Amino acid sequence: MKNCRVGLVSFLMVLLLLFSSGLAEAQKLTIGVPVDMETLDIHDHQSMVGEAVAVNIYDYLYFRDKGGELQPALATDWELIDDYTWRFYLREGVKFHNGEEFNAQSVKVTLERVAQDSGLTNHTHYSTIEKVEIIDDYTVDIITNVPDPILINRISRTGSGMLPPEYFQEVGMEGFIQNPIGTGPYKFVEWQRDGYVRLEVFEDYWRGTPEISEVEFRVIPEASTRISELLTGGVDIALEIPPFEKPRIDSRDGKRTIDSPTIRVMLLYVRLMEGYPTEDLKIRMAIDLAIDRQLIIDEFLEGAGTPVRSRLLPGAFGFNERLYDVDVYNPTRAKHLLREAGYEDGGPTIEIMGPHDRHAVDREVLEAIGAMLEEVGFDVNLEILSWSAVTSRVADRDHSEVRWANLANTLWDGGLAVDYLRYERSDDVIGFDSPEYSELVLAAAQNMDLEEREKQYQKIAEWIAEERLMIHLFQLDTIYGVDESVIWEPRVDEMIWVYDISLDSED
Amino acid sequence: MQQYIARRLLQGLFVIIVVTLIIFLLVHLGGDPVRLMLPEEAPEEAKEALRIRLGLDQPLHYRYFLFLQGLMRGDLGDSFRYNEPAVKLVMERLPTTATLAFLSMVLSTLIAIPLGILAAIKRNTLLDLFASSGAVLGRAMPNFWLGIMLILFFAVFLGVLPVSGFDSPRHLILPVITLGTGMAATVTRLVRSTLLEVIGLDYIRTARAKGLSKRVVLFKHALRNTMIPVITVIGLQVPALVTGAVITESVFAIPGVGRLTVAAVSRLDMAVVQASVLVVSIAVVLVNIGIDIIYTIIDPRVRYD
Repeated sequence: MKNCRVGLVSFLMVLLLLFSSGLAEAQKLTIGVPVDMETLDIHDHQSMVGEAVAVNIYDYLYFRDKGGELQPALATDWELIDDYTWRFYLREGVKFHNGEEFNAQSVKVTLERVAQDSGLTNHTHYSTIEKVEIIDDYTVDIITNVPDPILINRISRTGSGMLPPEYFQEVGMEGFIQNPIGTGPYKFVEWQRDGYVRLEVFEDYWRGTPEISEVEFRVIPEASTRISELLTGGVDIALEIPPFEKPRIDSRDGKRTIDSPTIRVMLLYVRLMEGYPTEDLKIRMAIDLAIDRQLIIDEFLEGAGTPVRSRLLPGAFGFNERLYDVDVYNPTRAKHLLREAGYEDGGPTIEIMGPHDRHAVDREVLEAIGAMLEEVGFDVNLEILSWSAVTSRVADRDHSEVRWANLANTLWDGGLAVDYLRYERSDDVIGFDSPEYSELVLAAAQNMDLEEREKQYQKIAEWIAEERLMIHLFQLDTIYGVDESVIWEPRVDEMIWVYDISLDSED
Repeated sequence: MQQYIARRLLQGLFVIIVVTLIIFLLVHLGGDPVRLMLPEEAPEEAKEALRIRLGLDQPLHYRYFLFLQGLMRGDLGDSFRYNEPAVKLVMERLPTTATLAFLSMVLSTLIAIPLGILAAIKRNTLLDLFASSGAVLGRAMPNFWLGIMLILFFAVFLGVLPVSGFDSPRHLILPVITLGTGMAATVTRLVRSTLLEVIGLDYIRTARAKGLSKRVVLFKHALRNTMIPVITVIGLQVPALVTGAVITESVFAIPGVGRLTVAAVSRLDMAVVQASVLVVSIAVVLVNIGIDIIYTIIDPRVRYD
C-alpha cells in the first residue's frame, strides 16, 4: 500500500514537472528578413521591413486587419466634427512598456512631431495635420490645414505609432531610439545593426498577452542563405523568397511556401511629351496589348501575381473592380495599331529602362517584355541598370520613353497613386498636360464626400488605363518560406504582425 | 629604424589624405541620396526639406571644408541611413571583419606555404598535380558561389555546421574557408614557383656542394628567399580580403564593415562610405608598413635607408 502511495505521488510529481516545464517553455519565433531596419525613429524611415518590425513595438490609433480593413486600435471610435476637425476617442487603460499611461498627450506629442518637422522622411504623409487639440485625457481633435479625407489612413500606418510623452520628453529622440518604448505587443530588447532585432512579449498588452514570447528578426541579405536557414531550422519564417526557389522549399518535408498578395504593383511609366514615340496613344496601346502578363506571372513569378490595369488594389480607396485581374493581351491588335500609327515595316524604336536589383526577377521580366514588344514589331533597346543608377537618371530627367517601376501604396488611397501624373508634379518626367485631369485629381484629394470621391478615383483610374498614361502590369505577391509548425496568415501590407502568429508545438 | 617607421607613417598619412579626398569627391558627385531615401512621387518640397536637413543644400567646397574640419576631430558626420555617427558604425563592425580577415589569412597561410613547398620539392608528382590544380580551382571559384556551395553541403546536406551568423567559433568555419580559399590558392602557386626558382640558383648549388643536408638547404637557405615575394603578396592580399569580406559577409549574414560599405554605397550614405574607406585605408597602410619591417627580419640585406 505504502509502495502504491509512493508510486502515485511520484507519478503526480512527474506530471506536475512536465506540466510546469511545458508552461515555462518559451515560444520563440525567428524570422529571416532581407534588409535591416534603418532606424527605430518611426517618423524617419521609409522601409517596409522597418515598419514590419516596428509594428510589433508600437500601436496606431487605427490598424488594418489581414485583408486591409481599418479596425479600432488605440482609438475606439472617431467622428468628423467639420471638414478640418477629426475627433478621436481613445482607449482607456492602455499602458506603455515602461508603465506610462497612454492618453491624449501621447497622440499630441507623436503626431505634432512628424507633422511639424519637415526634415523627417515621413513628414510628407502628415503635413496636412495642423495641430492636435486635447479635449480631455481620452479625447483628441486632430485639426488639419486642408480638408483631408484620408486622415484615418495616415494615422494607421508607419509614422503614427504612439510614443510615450513623458519618457520621450525625458530622454529625447536620441535616447529613445536606444531603448524605444511603445504600447505594442512586444518590448524592444536589442538591435545589432545588420545582425538582428530581438523583442520579448509585453505581458500587459491591452489586446491580451501574445502566444509567442520571444521574437528575433535576423537580417540575412542573401535569399539562398535565408532559404538554407529555413531548411535547417535556423529561422521559422523567411521573407522574400525568389519565385524560382519555391520548389526547393515545397519539396522539403516540414517546410512550405505561402504566396501572399501585396500592395505593390509593377508598371511601366511612359513619357507623353513631344518627341517621344510614346506621345502617340496608338503606340502606348500597342505596348500595353503586346505584353502577355499572365505568361510572365506563370513563367517568372511561379504564379505569384495578378494582372492589373490600375495601382488601386482591393482594399484601397477608389478600387475599380473592372481594372483588376484582367489581362488585355492582344498581339494582333497591337500589330494593327502599329500599322495605324504609321509603322508599316516595324518600329518604332523603344528604349526601356529598369533596375535589376529591386525584385528577384527584374531582369528576366524586363527581357520578356522586350521580347514581347519585338514580337509585334517594336525595335527594343533595353537598359537594365542598378536602382541607384536608375534613380539618378530619373533625377536628371535623362531617361527613356518607357521605364519599369515597382510601387507600393502605403496610404491605401487613390490620391497617392494618381497625383504624380498631374502636369504640375511631373511635367518633365511624364508630361501629361491636361488641366482637366489636374482639376479632377485635386478635387478628389480634398473631397470629404466619400461616396463621390470614390467615384472620382474610379473614373481617374479608368482614364489612366484607357489613355495608357501609365501601363500597369501586375500586382506582386510576396512569397514566404515557413516551417510547418508556424500557424500564420500573412497580411497584404507585408507587416509581420507577430501577435497573429502561433507555433504548433506538436510539429 | 624609428626614423624609417616615422617616414613610412608620414607617407601613409599622405596616401590616406589623398584617398579621403578622392572618396569625398566620388561620393559627393555620385548623386543625390535624397532620391533614394524618398520615393520618386514624394513632393519636391519634402525632398528639399530633407536635403536641407542633411546639409546637401550647401555648396561642394563648403561641404569639403566641413568634412576636413570634422576629420581633424575624428568626426566624419552622421549616417543618413542610421542617423548615427559614421565612425561609430564602422568601429562597431570592425572587429568582426578584422577577425574574419585575420583568420582567413592565417588559415590560407597555414595551408598554402606547406602545400607550395611540397608541390615544389615533389615537382611533377601526383602531389604537385593535386596542389597546382587545387590552386587553379581555388582561384577560379568566386567567393559567392563557394560560400553558397559550402552552406549547401556542410549545413543543409550534412547538417554539421551552422548556415549563417557570427555567434560562435563554429559559425566562423565556413566564412573563413570561403574567404581564405582564393588567397591560399594564390600563395600556394607563388610559393611553388618561387621556391623552384630559388632552388635553381647558384648559392643553393654551393650549399649542397658544401655537403649541407637537403633539409638545411631548403629551410635555412632557400625558404628565406622564397618568403620575400610571398610576404609581399600576403600583404597585398589584405585589400583583397576586405573586398572579399563584402561578399562573404553578405552570403553568411555577418554584420561587418563590408556589408555596411556596400549598403552605404548603394544608398549614397556618404559619411559611412568615407568612414569605412578611411578605416580600410589605414589598415592597408599599417599592414604594408608592418610587411616592410618583416622584410628586414627575413632578409638582412634589406636596410632602413
